[in-house]
Amino acid sequence: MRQMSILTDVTKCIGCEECVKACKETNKTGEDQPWRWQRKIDDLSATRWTTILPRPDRHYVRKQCRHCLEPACASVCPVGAMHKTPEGPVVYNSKICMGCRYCMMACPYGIPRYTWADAVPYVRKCIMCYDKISSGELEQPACTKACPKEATIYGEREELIRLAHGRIEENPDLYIPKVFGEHEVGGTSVLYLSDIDLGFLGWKEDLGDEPLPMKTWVVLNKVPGIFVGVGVTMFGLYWIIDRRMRLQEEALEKKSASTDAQHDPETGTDKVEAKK
Amino acid sequence: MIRVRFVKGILWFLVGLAAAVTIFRFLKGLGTVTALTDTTPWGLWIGFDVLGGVALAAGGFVIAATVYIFHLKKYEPILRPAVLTACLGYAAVVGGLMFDIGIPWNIWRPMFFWQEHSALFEVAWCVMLYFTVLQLEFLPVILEKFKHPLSQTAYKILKFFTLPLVILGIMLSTLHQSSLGTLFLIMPHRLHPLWYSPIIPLHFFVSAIGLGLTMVITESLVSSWIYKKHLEKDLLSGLAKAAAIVLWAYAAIKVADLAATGKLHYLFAGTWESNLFLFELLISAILPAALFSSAKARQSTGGLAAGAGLAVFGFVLNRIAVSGLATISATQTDYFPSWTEFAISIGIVSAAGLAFFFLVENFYVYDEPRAEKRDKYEIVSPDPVGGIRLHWSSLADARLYSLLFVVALALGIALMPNIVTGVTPERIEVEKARRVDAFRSKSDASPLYLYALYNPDEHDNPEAGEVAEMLLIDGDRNNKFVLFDHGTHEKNNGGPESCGMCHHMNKPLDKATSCYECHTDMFLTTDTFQHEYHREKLKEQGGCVKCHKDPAEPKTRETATACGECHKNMRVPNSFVKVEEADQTGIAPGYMNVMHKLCIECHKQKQEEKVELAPDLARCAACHQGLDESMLMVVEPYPQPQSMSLLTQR
Repeated sequence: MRQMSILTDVTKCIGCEECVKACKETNKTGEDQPWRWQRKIDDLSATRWTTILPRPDRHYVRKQCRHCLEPACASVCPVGAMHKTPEGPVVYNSKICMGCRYCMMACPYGIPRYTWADAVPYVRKCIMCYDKISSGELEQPACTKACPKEATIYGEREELIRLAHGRIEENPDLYIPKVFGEHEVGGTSVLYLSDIDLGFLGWKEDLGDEPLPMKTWVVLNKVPGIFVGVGVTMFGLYWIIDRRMRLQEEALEKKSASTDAQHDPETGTDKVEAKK
Repeated sequence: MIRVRFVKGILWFLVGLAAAVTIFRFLKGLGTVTALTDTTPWGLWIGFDVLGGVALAAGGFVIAATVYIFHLKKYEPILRPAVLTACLGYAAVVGGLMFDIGIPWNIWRPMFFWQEHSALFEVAWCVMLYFTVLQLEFLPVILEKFKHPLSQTAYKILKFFTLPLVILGIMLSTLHQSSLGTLFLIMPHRLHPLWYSPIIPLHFFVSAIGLGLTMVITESLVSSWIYKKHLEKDLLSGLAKAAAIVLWAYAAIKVADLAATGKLHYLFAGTWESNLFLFELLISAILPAALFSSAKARQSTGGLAAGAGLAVFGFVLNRIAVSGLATISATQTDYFPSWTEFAISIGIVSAAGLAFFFLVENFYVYDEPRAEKRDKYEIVSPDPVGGIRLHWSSLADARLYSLLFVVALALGIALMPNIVTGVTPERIEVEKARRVDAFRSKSDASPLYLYALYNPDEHDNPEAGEVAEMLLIDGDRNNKFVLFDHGTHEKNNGGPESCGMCHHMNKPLDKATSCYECHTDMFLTTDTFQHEYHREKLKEQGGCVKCHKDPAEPKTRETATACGECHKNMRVPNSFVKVEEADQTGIAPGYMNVMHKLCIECHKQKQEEKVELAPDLARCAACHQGLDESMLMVVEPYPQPQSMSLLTQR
């Protein structure tokens, strides 16, 4: 299966927000409202799945779900409502979601948002127009299609990475010599080329290259062993202590029984006979 | 028992308050009753109710292991209350989860949709199973009261399976007490390094044992105070001794872990996180451990209460820190629970407390009936359910409690924000639009409008034109205003429906975005002076001192000779842009003020073309000559701030 990806070239973006408009219209996300819970850090919200972050010196950086190759959100979901499709996008199944919001806690980029105002709330984030593309309604995501400057493009991941490295080679003075998303947290399906550092997109400047789910899995895969181990240890301890106590008791009883047995004939009967 | 009545009254009141919040939680959603945000999606309910609750309930498996596995039979009198506390603790956890998770009627889904890579999946299963085990462990206490043969059979079966149940309970507890720590392994980017550790599951497990022991002590102290019951001090001091060992071990593991991962320098960094961490470690482990290490303190009620109270508070603080406080530095979002969140948390604990009282008063939780004692409690009635003696000393109690409940419920409803609407979007404060009346002249000769500030004496002729309301827009905030005929723009663009034509580029959450929000550079000053070029040129003619005349002055732009003093001909006659001679030191104002170009270039060009500058420069068409002039309008030069007092402001 071809892994589809998005490559955004920050140097080409003019910040027109056509991608935002196209996303909102295609996915019918609804009107942006100044809710209490979304006025921090960036402009992403349950109704705004991608946005443009202005940075100094006319830099415009599009923020959206990174569609990690090994997504933390999907690995922590206790029911599997988030999952990575073989085609690339990380999608969300609202039918089985129970609303624990662990995905929102685990995402290193702080992407998933919640419809807090609803009595039946759901998680909302970019799904790379997965539904529309797989049904054939769209050739490519609405955002990449809408971009007038080809600053954000859609394509096969390997090809986009090759293209990105090609651009860096052509213009080594312009770009930071790195394709953002090629290796971070195990690689992402949304890649960036940039002349400024994009560390601000995550909770931490440097998220590292190790896939986050591994951090949990190294502990979780020991669970069956620990479970059985604790059980065996506990039963073993019970058995040993129980046996010791029983032996002790028996020894005590035997001791008192044997002393009784020795005493009775010697003291009782002997004396009587001697007196007789 | 005035004490019991007093405590129960308070608890019923708190439950009533929580009941009011419950209604709005389920009708209006989480946004209405919590202070949670997209960046802090877990709050008090996860930190206290779930993480804290599970840890507080650890007494159940710790005491069960003590009595059944280690055969320390002398602790049997506190086994039943410990198991009951644990059971109610887990009930509170499940209750808290029902409030916290967004779609609580889907809480069963992990049973059927397996995802074994998720720590929460494991926690969900373990909590589910262990809660069941706890109920089975406690059920004999209830069954023994009923004389019905079925009840007696069930009692015997459960008693037979005591040991397997206890071992299963220990296995499950070990797993999920530590797995609650595993939950945070995936968030190294969120959690402060002092709390984040690859062995955080071990921290959670060891602290759970410590907390279990101290919680049992606390629970015994509280119930003996309420019921004026004899305190089994030698048992409690035994527990305290064990707690001291566990707490010392916990503190040692914490510090050793920091040392091993090279994080010791964070400890005394002086940040509020480091202070919180030290405070937490001190009151959760070091102080109670030190207290419990002294035999004298262990024997005194005060010592037991102080040590256990500190540890319980400290460990709950630890759970809240891990799930919330320690993430603030990464997310830069501060979160303080709303009163409604506190009401639910406290309400759930109160409900658990009431259930505890009910069970303690009606079943043999504290004094297990020994064979010879049993007759005393037996009820002669053949009624199979007659075993329960309801402890309503009189109906007055019931009346008092229900009154308090209803009053709290009403109070809660009255206090709830947004009763009908639920939570609403915030209002955005925008600067009040400043307006001024202008006179728009009608002229058949010109396709353009002419505007002037309205003066009633001058502009009283309706034939000549009409009064138009102008917006004063100060895009670059330099107190120079552009007059903007909002009404005409609206009309020409298609009436009230046309707002979007100009306001479509609104920033998210803005209602009327200021010009400079998009044209970020419009008010940046522009440097027109090439220092290197001048230095090169003036080298022959006296060098630096040509401009920087006074060697005593610092060589800055402010102290240098103004451009105009050398370039005499750069001044443009008749320009309405009045610039003080001394100000002109090579800085041009932002492009809005100079019609997108540096002043001089444009002025010179226009002078050569013999264009009359003064009246026309405020017309876009003065420069943009290719455009259709009918689309362009002329405005009067900027009203200066000092003349603004003459304007009629609305």
